[in-house]
Amino acid sequence: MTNEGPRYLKDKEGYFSKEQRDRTKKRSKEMEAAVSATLKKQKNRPKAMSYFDELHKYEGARYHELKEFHDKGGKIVGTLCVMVPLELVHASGAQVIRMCSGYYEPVHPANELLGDAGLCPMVKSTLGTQMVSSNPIVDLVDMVAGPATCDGKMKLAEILEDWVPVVMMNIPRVKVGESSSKLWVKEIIHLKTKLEELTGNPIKKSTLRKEIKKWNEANQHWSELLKIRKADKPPISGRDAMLVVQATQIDRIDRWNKKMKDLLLELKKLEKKGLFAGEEGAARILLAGSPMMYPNFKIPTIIEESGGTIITDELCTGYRLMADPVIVDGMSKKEIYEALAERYFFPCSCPCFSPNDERIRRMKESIKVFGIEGVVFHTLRGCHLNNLEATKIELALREEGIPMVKLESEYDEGDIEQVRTRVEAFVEMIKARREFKLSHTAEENK
Amino acid sequence: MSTTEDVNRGPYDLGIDVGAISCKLLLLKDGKIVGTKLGNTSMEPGKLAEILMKELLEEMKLDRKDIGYIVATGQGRRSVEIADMARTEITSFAKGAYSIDPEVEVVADIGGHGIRVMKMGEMGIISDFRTNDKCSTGTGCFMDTMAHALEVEIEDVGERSLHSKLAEHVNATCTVFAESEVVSLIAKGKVTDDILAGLHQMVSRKIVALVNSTQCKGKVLVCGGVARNVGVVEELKKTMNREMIVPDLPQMIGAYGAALMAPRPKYAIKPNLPDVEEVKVVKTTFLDRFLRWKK
Repeated sequence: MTNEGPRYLKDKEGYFSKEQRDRTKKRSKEMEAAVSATLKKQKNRPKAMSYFDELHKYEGARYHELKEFHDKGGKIVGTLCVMVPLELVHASGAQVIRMCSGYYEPVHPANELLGDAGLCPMVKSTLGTQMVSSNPIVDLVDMVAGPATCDGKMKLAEILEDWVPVVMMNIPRVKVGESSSKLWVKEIIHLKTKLEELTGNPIKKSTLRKEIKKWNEANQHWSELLKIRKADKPPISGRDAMLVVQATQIDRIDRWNKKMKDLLLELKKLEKKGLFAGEEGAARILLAGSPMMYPNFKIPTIIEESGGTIITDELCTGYRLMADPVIVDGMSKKEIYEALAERYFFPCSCPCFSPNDERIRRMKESIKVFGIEGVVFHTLRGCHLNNLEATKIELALREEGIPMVKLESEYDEGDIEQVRTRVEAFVEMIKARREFKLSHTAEENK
Repeated sequence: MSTTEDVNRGPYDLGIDVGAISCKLLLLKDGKIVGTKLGNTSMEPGKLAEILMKELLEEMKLDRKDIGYIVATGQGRRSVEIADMARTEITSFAKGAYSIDPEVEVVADIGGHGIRVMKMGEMGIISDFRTNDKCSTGTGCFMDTMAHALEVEIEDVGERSLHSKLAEHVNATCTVFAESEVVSLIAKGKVTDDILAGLHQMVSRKIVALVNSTQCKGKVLVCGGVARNVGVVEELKKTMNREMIVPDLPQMIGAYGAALMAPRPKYAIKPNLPDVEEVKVVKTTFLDRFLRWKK
């Protein structure tokens, strides 16, 4: 992209006062600490989770590690959506940060620039973080890889160009036809060239294969975790599982694999002891809809505090991050890139794609496999794509006899009680249905 | 529940529905309504519920020990400390409505701050529900604001709109914008009754849209405080296009449902609400509440 023409806010230093910057920083830090504290209060929590807590901490150990890496000349790439092949970024020797922000406070500086026009709060928060540099880890980013998915993310990537170089990836939004997959392979090769330019290291086939192997191992660990969550009383909460999988977006994957092994061992022990992360007789919920980046764990927290437990999810900040392994069919470079393109395109069920029947198919499958009793569909304000798809999903789920509740939320804490009432009613409804079914089958058996 | 415990408890069940604007109490004995009480929700709903309960007991010449179970519901349900259990208003309204008429397929509760539409499944268990999303149109609070702008007592709003011959159109759906539209209609010299009729049309449009979104064509039960407004009810009858019933005490259905949820051996389902004397209404306007809040 060029740097010509009118720009949004070139002057990063001059526009916002020091007080505003400090306030945003302080509130972000406080928010993260509060969310982390509620997570730590969960009962029967595995000890191995402390690593992941520390990893996500605002200005925590991971920040200092990356800062050191950056100071020594290492490059850091920010990603905006799940379609960026992280194997490729790691193979170039760079480290990755997912830039999508879950902090509430940076929404306000972005509102000053964009106006409060019903835009996606995640987009605004990500932009605000960049504008007032409220999150030090984001300031380390040398290049952004932004797939042009939804309108919000596409324009966000464009605006971010004011602060940091952006590689916009032209992701095909129509999933059928040969031209789509061909285009996407080309886009991935384009990203590869840009990464090589950034780091100065040519990406070798052997390193790429090694990275793919590491990520496939990570995928296996994640499948293992999903197996544990299938149990009647899973020993891990939905929030913790989300925290774990979101860690892949900022961590070194080999270390993540190691820590994950420890966690899995501990979880198996907890499962044998019969320890349950949720309340007794909790409603088994599938969480779907708009992304929820840490620390925006408002909705999952409400669900798990109101007598539900999130068994699995269908989020691009959860299940979808690790959905499938990369399956390389041959030895050539071309085949590796094709395999990467396939992994990061076809399984992704973001509503920005059409046709997106994959999403409904996956949800129906999850409902059967995980014994789901109800679906909570969350949309962020201004997330038109998820809002539009919600009706279709609700009708499809109705056929299966699975109730769905749609919740709209924003990046503030004002709507917590409203949402809580709805979630509580939903849980009460599920429990009443369960009792009715049990009594019904008991009568039939007589 | 064991029978011994039931013997130790009094024969009455109390349902407390702490809504956004008013607090409703209903006393139940063997599934029959024996007394009701209505008050305005204060800053301390827990204490208010206690005071109202004492008043109700005095009126009924009963003792605290006579009450077996207290079930709280409504938005302030968690602050009612005297309650034995708490359930959401969505579940309570559905329970109450099912007890009144088991054939009801959709229940619409139009309350002070929220509209809730519940689709009923088998045995009065909700199969789906919808609420108003961050919008107060059609709620009691909305009508309060409009009545205040038109300088009409909220109790007279329904009656007066029935005198209208040609309703004025009100298009804005936001409370603030609708108020400014009403003010501009007043400035144009339009008749108050016509404006009220127009407002009721708008409110009923909103409710009908929410009811239709359940994609259910069966019988509808309309309850909640706004169902006491005859203007809205008349308008709903015209536009609903399906069988619609309004129970005798529309505001009390939540408290009734809550009291029914007391964990006793199941009552036989009563098809109709028993006759109860008309509830005394404490007259308040939006302004009164605003002034009280400012204190």
